[in-house]
Amino acid sequence: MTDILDLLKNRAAEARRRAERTSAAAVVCSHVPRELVEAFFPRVVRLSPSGTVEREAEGEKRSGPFVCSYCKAILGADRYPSIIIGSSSCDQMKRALEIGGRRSGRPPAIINMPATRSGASLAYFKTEVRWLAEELAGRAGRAFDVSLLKKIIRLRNEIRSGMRKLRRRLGGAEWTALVLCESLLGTDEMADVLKEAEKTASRPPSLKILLAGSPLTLEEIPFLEFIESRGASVSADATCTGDRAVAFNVRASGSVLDGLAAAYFRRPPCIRARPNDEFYKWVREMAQRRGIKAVIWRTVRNCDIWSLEAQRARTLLGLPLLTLDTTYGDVLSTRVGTRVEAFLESLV
Amino acid sequence: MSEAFDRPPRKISFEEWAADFKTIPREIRERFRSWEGTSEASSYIENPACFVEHGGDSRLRSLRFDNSLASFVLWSLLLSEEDRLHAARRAGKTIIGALKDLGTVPVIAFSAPGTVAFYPDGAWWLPCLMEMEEGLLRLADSLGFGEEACPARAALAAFVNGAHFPLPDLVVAAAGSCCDDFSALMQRVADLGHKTVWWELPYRRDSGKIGGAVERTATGLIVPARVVDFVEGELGRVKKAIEETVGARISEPMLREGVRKANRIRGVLAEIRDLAYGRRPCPLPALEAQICEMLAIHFCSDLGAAFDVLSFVAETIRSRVENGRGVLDPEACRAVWVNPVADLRVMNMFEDLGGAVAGSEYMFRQALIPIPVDRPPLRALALTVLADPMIGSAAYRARLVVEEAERYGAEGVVVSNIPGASHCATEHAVIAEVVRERLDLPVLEVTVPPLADSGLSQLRTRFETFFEIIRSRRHR
Repeated sequence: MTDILDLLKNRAAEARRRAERTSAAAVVCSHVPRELVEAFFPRVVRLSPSGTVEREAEGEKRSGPFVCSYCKAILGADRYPSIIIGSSSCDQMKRALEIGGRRSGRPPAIINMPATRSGASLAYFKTEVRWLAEELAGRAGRAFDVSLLKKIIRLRNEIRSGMRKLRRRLGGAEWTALVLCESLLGTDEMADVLKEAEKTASRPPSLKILLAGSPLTLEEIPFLEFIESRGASVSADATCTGDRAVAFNVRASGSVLDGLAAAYFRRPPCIRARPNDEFYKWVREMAQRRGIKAVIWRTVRNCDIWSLEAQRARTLLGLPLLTLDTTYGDVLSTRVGTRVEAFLESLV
Repeated sequence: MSEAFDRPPRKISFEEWAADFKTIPREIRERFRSWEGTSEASSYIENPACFVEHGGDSRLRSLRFDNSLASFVLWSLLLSEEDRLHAARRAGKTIIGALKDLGTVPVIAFSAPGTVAFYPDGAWWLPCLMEMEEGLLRLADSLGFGEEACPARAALAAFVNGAHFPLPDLVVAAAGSCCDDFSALMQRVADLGHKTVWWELPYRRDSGKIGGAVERTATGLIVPARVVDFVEGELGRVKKAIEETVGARISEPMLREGVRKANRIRGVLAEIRDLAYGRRPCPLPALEAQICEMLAIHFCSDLGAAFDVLSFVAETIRSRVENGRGVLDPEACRAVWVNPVADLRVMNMFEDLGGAVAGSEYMFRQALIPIPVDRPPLRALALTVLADPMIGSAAYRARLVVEEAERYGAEGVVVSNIPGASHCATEHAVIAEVVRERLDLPVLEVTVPPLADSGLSQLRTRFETFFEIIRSRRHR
């Protein structure tokens, strides 16, 4: 493990522990305009569950066997955040949040991110962001402060830009840890983390892999380390916890809410967009730019939006592609390890 | 007309049913025709043996049927749909394939001249009806849609092999608030190169702050006017795409007429539901009642025929109720049934063991409620879309189940999970919790695959236990 990876993992783990202890407000999906939530609540994290067998098993007891592992891990937490802001992007997630809300007595606020990509959908999403501002004002007990929101947008833009600049110097494990830090830390703390990360030296060239699939948890970083210990580098990451997480900036001038809505709508779309051509275009372009040689399509069990796309991705991306369907019980299992090794060997 | 089969109501085997066909006078068979007034007009009443031998619907042999002529006609209309769609193609009609929305797009499509609409989603029953001989699930597997996806994956396979429904001239796909697996399926269908229009079916928040102007759906939901505006605009795009495909404009009077016809069907269906689910002894078996409900979604590709058949069913069961006749034991255990079953045989089994369906929530309530006529048709349809139980919370769906149970005096609830459906992974827990809290009724959860034969003994035991609980509660 590199020093920087160690540092990032520790910071993310510590932030997650703190969030769980102090019931921070949590956003659940990358479609939720986090800056807006941060303009109302002092500590906002992106809900990042512990990807452990224990959490998954506990979540299964509270939901059912056919729920995806990621949702189970969220539901399996000892304690739920006081405020949860989700999005309509993933059917299972939104249903899992309903169960969590019933259990905690604190219903989530769900913002509607359209799956379609038309101008009408964008206009509608703008009305949803205004709704969210009102909803959050009701929950926080105060109206939002435009200048504070603009300041947060500026800071988050700087963080995202800084992260993007660092991307080429980081391996996949480090990058995921950095993204998880960004999702869990406030702007000041994240700015400090970035300064540390900037000290990282560039990695030597290796076989470049693109990772796609379900969002990663902190506990799955060893899976990325394993890939990279076998001579490959996860140089592009199309998961929600990868390059997509920071591949956009928000315009802070003009109507700030409309600008926020437009930025979140126009960012590289989720694979659930319909049609999802833009997603594949973005992935293809990233793969080409970064010299990607192969794809690992890794999904957690019962994650339909990713797993049912695997065959299509193989055709549309035109690269050797390995599919992995895992639970948190087999992040580093022999089965997974052997398949990854065989795949990488076949590419050399 | 029901005098032709005027005999004590009961459920009969396939062999008896097939034998009955021979007793139906030709002049009666000829009264039930598809595409009346066109060159393709023909009777759709068919010898059930033909559906098995030529159509491959071998599961019919394992089912039990209501012995009325109305039921015979109802089944015939259902089972002849593929033939009717192919006839529509031969007659030069435009065929619209609607995906997911269940009940709205066909109202627009049937308003256009020379147009029929159907739901390829309906192919999810083919693996059951054809007892897997058609190979659709195997083909879906090879396309990357294995058992993690619901049996509706058969629709994708049917698009690929082209061996069932005719490939539509336009696919209208509702995205947004949609099961994850079905959304992925629609994307694959669009990839096949069919002309496709996507429209947004937005998520509906069923609680919390609404803000701004609101409107009320026929099911009593309060929805923001801005959401109705958005959906109205989306349906406007759908209408435009249909117009471009058909090559003719759909005027507002035409849409109003389409809404009127759909409402006429929904009105008859409301009476059928009240009689079938509310009366003891039950005058119509669950399978036939479910088919009646399905007719409201897309009229089995013939709006006129669907209305005639439903009217005939209503007439038949009205007569049964007036005469105190029914098909089930008056003491049958009454339950609201949640979700359609992938294997139709399970509905038979439920009744044969002593159950009666007393209310349903088959995922398309929006197709059963009257479409408002006091506003522009597209706005009325938008408001109806927003009553869809699958686009909001499971708690709202649970509320519908509670209302059904109260309305029809149910003594329990059966949540019949569809394997692989993303909504089924979580919602049963919410439905069970709400039903127990509000009504203190027992809730049974079962999972029914397309062919449930290997699990029938387990299902039998579960139903029997459920009925024991219901009976024991009667003496409390």
